[in-house]
Amino acid sequence: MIRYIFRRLGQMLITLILISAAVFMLVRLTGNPEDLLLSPLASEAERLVFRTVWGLDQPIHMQYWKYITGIFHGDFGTSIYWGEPTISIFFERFPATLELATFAITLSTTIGIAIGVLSATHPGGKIDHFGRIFALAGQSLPTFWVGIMLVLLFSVTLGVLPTSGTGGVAHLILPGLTLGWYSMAAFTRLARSSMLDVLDSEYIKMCRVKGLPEHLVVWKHAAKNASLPVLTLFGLQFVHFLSGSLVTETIFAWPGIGRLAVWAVYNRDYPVVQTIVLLMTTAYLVVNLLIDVIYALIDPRIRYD
Amino acid sequence: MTEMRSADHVPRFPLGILLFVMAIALVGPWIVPFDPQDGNLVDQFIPPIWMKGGSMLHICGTDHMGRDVLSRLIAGARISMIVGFTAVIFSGCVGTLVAITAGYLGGAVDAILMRLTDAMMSMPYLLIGVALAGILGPGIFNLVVVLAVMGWASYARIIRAEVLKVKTLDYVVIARITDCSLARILWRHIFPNILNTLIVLATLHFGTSIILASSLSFLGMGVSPPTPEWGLMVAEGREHISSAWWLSTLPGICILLTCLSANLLGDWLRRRMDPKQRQRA
Amino acid sequence: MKQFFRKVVVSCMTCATFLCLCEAVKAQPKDTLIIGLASLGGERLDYTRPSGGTNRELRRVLARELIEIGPNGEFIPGVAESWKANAGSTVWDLFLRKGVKWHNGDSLTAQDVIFGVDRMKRPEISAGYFTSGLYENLDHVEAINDHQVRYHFKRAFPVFPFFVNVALPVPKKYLQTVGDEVFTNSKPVGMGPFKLVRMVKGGEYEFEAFDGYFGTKPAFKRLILKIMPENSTRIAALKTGEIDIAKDVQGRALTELRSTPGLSITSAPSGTSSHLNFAHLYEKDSPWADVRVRKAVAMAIDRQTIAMTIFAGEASPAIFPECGKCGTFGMPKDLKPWPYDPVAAKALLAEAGYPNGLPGEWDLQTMQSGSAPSQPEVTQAVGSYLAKIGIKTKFQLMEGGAFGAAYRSKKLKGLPVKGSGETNLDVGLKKDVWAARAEAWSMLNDEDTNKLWDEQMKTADVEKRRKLLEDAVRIMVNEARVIPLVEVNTIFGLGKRIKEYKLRQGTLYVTDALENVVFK
Repeated sequence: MIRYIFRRLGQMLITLILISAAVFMLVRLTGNPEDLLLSPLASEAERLVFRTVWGLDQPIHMQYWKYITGIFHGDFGTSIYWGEPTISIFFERFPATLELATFAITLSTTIGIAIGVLSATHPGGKIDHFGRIFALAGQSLPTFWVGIMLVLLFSVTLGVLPTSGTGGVAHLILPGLTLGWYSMAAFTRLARSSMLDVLDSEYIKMCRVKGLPEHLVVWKHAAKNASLPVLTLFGLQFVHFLSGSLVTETIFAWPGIGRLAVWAVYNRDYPVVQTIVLLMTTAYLVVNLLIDVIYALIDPRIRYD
Repeated sequence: MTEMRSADHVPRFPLGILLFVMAIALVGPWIVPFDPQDGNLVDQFIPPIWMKGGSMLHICGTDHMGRDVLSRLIAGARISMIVGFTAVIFSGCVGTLVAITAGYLGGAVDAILMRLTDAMMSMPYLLIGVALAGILGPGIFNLVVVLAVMGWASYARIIRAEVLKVKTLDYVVIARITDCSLARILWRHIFPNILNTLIVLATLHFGTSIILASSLSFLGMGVSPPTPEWGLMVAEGREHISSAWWLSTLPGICILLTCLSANLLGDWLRRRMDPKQRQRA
Repeated sequence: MKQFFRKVVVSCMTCATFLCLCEAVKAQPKDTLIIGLASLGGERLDYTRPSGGTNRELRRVLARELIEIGPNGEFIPGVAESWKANAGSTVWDLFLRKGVKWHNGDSLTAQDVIFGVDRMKRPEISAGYFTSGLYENLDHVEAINDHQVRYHFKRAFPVFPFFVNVALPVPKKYLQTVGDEVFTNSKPVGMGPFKLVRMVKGGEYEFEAFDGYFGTKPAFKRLILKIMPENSTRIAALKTGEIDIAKDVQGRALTELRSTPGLSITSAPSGTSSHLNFAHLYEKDSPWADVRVRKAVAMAIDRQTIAMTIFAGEASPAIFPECGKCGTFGMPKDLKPWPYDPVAAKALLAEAGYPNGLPGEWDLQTMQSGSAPSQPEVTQAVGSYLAKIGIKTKFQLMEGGAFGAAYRSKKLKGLPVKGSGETNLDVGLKKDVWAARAEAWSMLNDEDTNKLWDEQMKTADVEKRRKLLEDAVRIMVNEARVIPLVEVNTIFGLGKRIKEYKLRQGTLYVTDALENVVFK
């Protein structure tokens, strides 16, 4: 197991280097920051000064080398737009995204799993039909449309929830719903299919033959065995929320990483984009590794060596 | 307590919708009542026919530039179909190629290709899409490229797993031993066996592509005006959502129905292809 | 099993409802003004550098200009109470107001002005901010006494008041103590009506009225600027009372706001307009070299309808890419906008040898811009009108930076539509229309207007300058070298608590004159 973990960490490093190089070049292809930052009336001399100050006049491999060596010293670069270290900009916004992601994942797992399990235990019933439609509809709607419709319904027409911004729990509800909608559907489907598989197994049949009460059968025995795929989805969705909330954050003016990322790409703030991609990818890979390890720990049948 | 999957015949409703949309896409340019890209400013914001102020001329109303919404929806079907199909074909081809190469050849090739695939899948996908779109600029072709780049990795992963399974099948092993040419083995033995999975993936990816395309357009990174793409129409209509709700709602419904049908169809296909596993999604 | 579920669901719903009610009941505190806007740029708090870093909104909150602009576009005292030039306009004296205080209590003196001028010379400070307007001509500055600063220029500089604010004073003692980093990112100190109390980057900024402010104090004690990038969200927030003033409202939202009881809008000419350029103007065999073709384009566009539909009436046909309504210096007062006459336009085209319209398809490019959000729609409408007289165009929406780069390097083909964002209210400074210097931003390069422009740059006599400029404008309009489209108003939505907010001509920023906000 330890060897496996180390091997995975090594692979992670390679992946991260690949990705950072790819993104490094990708952002530089989007254009020049001075086109947007400097007044259009700026002279060539002023533009050159700008590029020199930011090290953009160096050949690209030199820039990359400086960037990589900087990282090992803890320097992730300075934002061209804000003039601050990208790391501090990132962590200024990260808690907001984390808050939203946590709320959304809680919402989607509880509601999604509840509906999924109920669907599985009452096949063909009303809940099952509702669950199936709900799941499919959820995965067929664009997030931004859901968000705007929710604002229209709950904020403008009914006036019970705030339209945007951070604040108390009430501010979390609409963005959380918007962000979590899609994955709620995914959890429903997964919980349902996982549960159905397990409910059909020999082990559960034995439990029933033994005469155990139904709720124990479902929630104690079946659920445990059905939980592994759900756990995987949980991890993946959580990281997805952290890095993919661009649309939701825009609609609800949520001061998080997603909005920061779109802004940085649009304004060609290279260092910020690089840092966000690097950190988010690391998070994704770490979560993946954690899930695989937990898998192996929980299910004695899984072996990696 | 065991559920018996009852009457799992072809889902007529989703298939019907998809065929309908495809038909519209094909004959679109000939049946549009008005020019989807041009309109008269003075005719802006005419509501759909069932509302007060609606007119027979514009069944679904007009938008902020006076363009007929129905014509744009029809023209948009064509674009969504093109975007969806080409994105799926591109990513499917690239993904399958990578998967078959990696899975069949194994060894170092496999390791490298899978590293690349992992890298691709670990990147925050929407951000990469936005950056790519920023580089390439707006346009249908560029949108397809962005979607293809974002999509191939998931094909690769899953199909590779299938290839690994197929590799161990008896007749494949025999083919290798009897020294069949590589191309022949890949084409006649490996490929047909992964085709089922590929079809399921493609169908599901089709729906996702349409949604991704509309999300990119929403962020201003997809096709550009005055292209009548459904996602762009929703984006353009959100400015006027409380007064001219039909501008965003109608194309949104089109996206929903198309994607939903694709998902239902893909689901059904998956169930059909794997009777042993009894996937009940 | 089912009982348990039901209990959980009911308690969740009760909690949620309770929380919602709490939110809804929370009333807006009096004495506070909340403004919602799409963005605050890079949110750098250094008000001396309002582009590429701090949005000018923050500048108007934290600071004041040395020379301010009054309600009709005239120069009025700001931090400086008067100014005067010598005979040749090569030496300008700035007399500072007495008793101006910084937010930390220090007094503002000439030393702070000198320090500001020197500081802005440093490339790491000025990177991203266009400063050569002042520094190209500046020789040196000196303090005559604590309240008088003398600027020495290399050549005559009659337009000094337009450029003096390039280098605002900064609190010398404070900056030397805390350093640039703190001043820029967390603790700015200015001399404006508000000082910063709290900020959530990307979220909102809270300010408190500064008691020692030298000008008219606003009627409220606290100011909150909320960042809300999504248009529909901002309008919704205005309706629910979450914000009192909304910036960046346009088009259809206006009709909505006007018809909702309790809400209103305030607007003023912004001094910005859009114009259509001819990239092939100087190519001998191009149809655009013919003035009749250009005039046809000018008359083919129904500017009034565009103003009424796309801008819901908050715009007007432009005469020239300058603010026609603002009393702009150098604009002849007797010019009228081009009439909408597609019949005459077609006739002109026929006369020029194109009875069936122009051959080929012409690129019609523009960019998406935060300050001119309806520009793509205006451009599409223009394309539509041109098609009606036989000129086929292909609309291209380019990304801001790409458009700018192509425009500047003269690589654009066809008919680029550009907005003019400067609100200098002096035609002689409209670099994006005038002379094609190497670094300038203009498509035009004609001997007659170049000569007039160069001369007025050197003239110190105000009336002579005015005449030169007016002559040049007349030539450009009559020759249709650039086609003006519409002049837009700056519009802000006002919520239920606001009675009125009078704006000045040529204003772009919601925090421009908060002392004019009147509550109900």
